[in-house]
Amino acid sequence: MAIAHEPDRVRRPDRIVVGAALIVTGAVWLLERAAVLDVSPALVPPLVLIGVGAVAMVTSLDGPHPALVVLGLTVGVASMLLAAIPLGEIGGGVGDRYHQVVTEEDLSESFRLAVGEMEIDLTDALITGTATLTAKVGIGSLVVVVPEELSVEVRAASEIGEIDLFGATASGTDLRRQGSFGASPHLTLDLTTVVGLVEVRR
Amino acid sequence: MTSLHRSTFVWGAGFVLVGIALALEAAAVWALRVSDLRIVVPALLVLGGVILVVRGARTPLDGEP
Repeated sequence: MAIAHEPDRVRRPDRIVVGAALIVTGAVWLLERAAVLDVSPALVPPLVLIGVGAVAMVTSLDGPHPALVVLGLTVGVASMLLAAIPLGEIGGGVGDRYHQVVTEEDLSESFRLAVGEMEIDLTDALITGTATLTAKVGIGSLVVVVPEELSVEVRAASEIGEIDLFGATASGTDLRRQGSFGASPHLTLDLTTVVGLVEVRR
Repeated sequence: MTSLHRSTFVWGAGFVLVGIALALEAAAVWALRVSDLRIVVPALLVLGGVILVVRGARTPLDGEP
C-alpha cells in the first residue's frame, strides 16, 4: 500500500523579509504618527540597512541570499550618499534661482538651494556698512556677481568640485579658499557647495 | 541540520555595522563629509584582497569546492 507523504514545506525567506520589513516600517510609522516616537528622517536609511543586515545574518542559515546582499549594497551606498550630502538639511528645494541684492537688508535672506544653480547678483547693491552674505548649495553651482568697485572678503568651500574666485580656479576635493579682493572690504561672502562650483566674478 | 552560509552572514554583519555607524552619524555623534567617501573604493579593494588571500590560503576539505 502506498503511503502518501506530505510534501516538504519550503520556507520562503524573501516573503519573510518583505513581511518583517512591512511590519517594522508600519509599526514605527504608526508610533511616529501617534507621537510616541520621534524618528528623524535621516535615521531611516541607516535603520533600513541595519534591518537588511540583520535579516541577511539570520537567513544565512538557509544558504546564500544574493538578492539580500544586492539590496544591502544598494541601501548602503544610498545611505552613505544621503549622510554625506544632507540635502534635506540644506533645504531650498531644487531648480535654478536668481537673487538680485539691492539693499543691505536683502543680504539677510536665506540663500540656500539643495540641488540646482543659484546666482546672486550684487551689481546694483548699495552696501555702505559691514555686511556678510552667506549662501549654500548642496549639488550644483553657486555664482556671485559683485560690482567692479566693491571690495569683498571671500570664504569659499566645496567638498568636491571647483572654486573660481575672479578667475583663480582650483578643483578637486575638500577645497577651501579665502581671500580679500580690494582695499578694506566691507562685504564678506561666505559661500559653500557640497558638490559643485563656487564662482565669484565681477 | 542547517549550515551557515558564511559570506551572506559576513555581508549581513557588515551591513549592520555600517548601518550603526551611519545611524550614529545621523545622531550627530560624528560627521561624514562627501570627501570622506574617497576612502570607500580603496578600502573595498583592500577588503577584497584580504578575502581573496584568506580564501586562497585555506585548504579545502575533500569534496569541498
